[in-house]
Amino acid sequence: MGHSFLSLLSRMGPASLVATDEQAMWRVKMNDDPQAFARLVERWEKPIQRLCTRMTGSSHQGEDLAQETFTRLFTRRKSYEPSGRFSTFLWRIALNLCYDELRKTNRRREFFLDETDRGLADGPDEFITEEPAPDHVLADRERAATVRRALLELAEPYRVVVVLRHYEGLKFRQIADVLAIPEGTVKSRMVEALNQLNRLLSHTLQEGEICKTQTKKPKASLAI
Amino acid sequence: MQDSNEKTESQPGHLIHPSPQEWISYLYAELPKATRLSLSAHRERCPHCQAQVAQWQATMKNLDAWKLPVASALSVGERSGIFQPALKWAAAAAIVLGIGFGVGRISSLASGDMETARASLQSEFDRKIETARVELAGHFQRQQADALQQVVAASASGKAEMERLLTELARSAEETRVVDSESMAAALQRLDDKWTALHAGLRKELETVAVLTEDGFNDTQHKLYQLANFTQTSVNK
Repeated sequence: MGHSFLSLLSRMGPASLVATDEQAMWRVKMNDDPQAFARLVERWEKPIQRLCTRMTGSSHQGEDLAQETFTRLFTRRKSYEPSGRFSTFLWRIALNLCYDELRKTNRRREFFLDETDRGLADGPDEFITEEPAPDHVLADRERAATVRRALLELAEPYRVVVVLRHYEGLKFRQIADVLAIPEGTVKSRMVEALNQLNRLLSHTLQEGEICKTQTKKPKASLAI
Repeated sequence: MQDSNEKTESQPGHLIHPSPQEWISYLYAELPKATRLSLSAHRERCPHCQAQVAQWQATMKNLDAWKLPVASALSVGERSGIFQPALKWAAAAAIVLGIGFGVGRISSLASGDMETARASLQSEFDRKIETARVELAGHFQRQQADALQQVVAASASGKAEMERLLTELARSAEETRVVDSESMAAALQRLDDKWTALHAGLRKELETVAVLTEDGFNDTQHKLYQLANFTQTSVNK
């Protein structure tokens, strides 16, 4: 879907010579340059999709949220300030959408009051296959599912730090900018997240089931 | 968990332990070389920190187990949908063969002619297997053609969706542009009105000054006449 979008955009005009994401975004802001926008989508589509998938635990939601992120990026192009990094602006849009989606999912879950209806976030959709698999592939798949569930057990402020640092490779300083919190707080949250994950994963691997933590999940949103 | 980066003291040996935040920076290679070497040295001689760091490393390694799947041309649901009817055909063929085998066994016991029965059973098996094979092959071909059509249809609908989205974006941009130009026109109109009002005020003030000046001239002229008359009268006297 994203590739069709890109190919359509790429046919819309001559190639724009933009060196950085910030310059491309400036062109989008000032001239509605479709070529520059296509460049940004191409560059950031996968990272944003990965972020949304890890935050929600669902690849389908990840794809939808990534599309929504770029739609929102375009509609809010006028509010982009070139003094800041483009990536920070984009990560914030994506994270706010993830927070909104997670809140909706939580509300639905509370409404139905059904522990078996864990929504998309707990569905095994990432790992289903009809084809028989060797034992070690099944074991890897099971481990991945366990990690995914453990990550979803973390409160959002901890989960986002793990996703941005461990999976997306952002430096602690960059994460602090995106979340608008001190760098020391980011590191503290990372320590706490790893400690909680250690408890969840070791318990799961030993007992074969996830230990449900009673962590408070505060509302989160980022100023864009 | 505290945000401070203060180091904590241990009881035995009076070692100063690096803070957890420092260890996290160490594990993610975000420390200057000198600090990194210092922490490595501490780790070598401190079993407590060694254990803690090993625990975090194990958790980090576990996190790596979750790899995101690569998107395939057909989704899992579509794939299972394609192959399910084929499996049903295979199961049906197996049942037919099983029934044939059972009937054959019963009839063979009744007749007592083992060789004839075995030959008959064998030919029957061969015929049924061949029939099932042909049916399955045909079915697979039809399913493959259907799958191809589904992929083409999905691709077309995705393209149509993108074109719709693009049109929507263009329309949105156009609306914004129209709103911007209307705002600009309104601002210019306000500026023009203001300028006109200012101009009218200035003109009025200027006219007032001119009238007053003319009155002043007339008054002065009148006084000069009076002075001239008075001077003439004085000279005549």
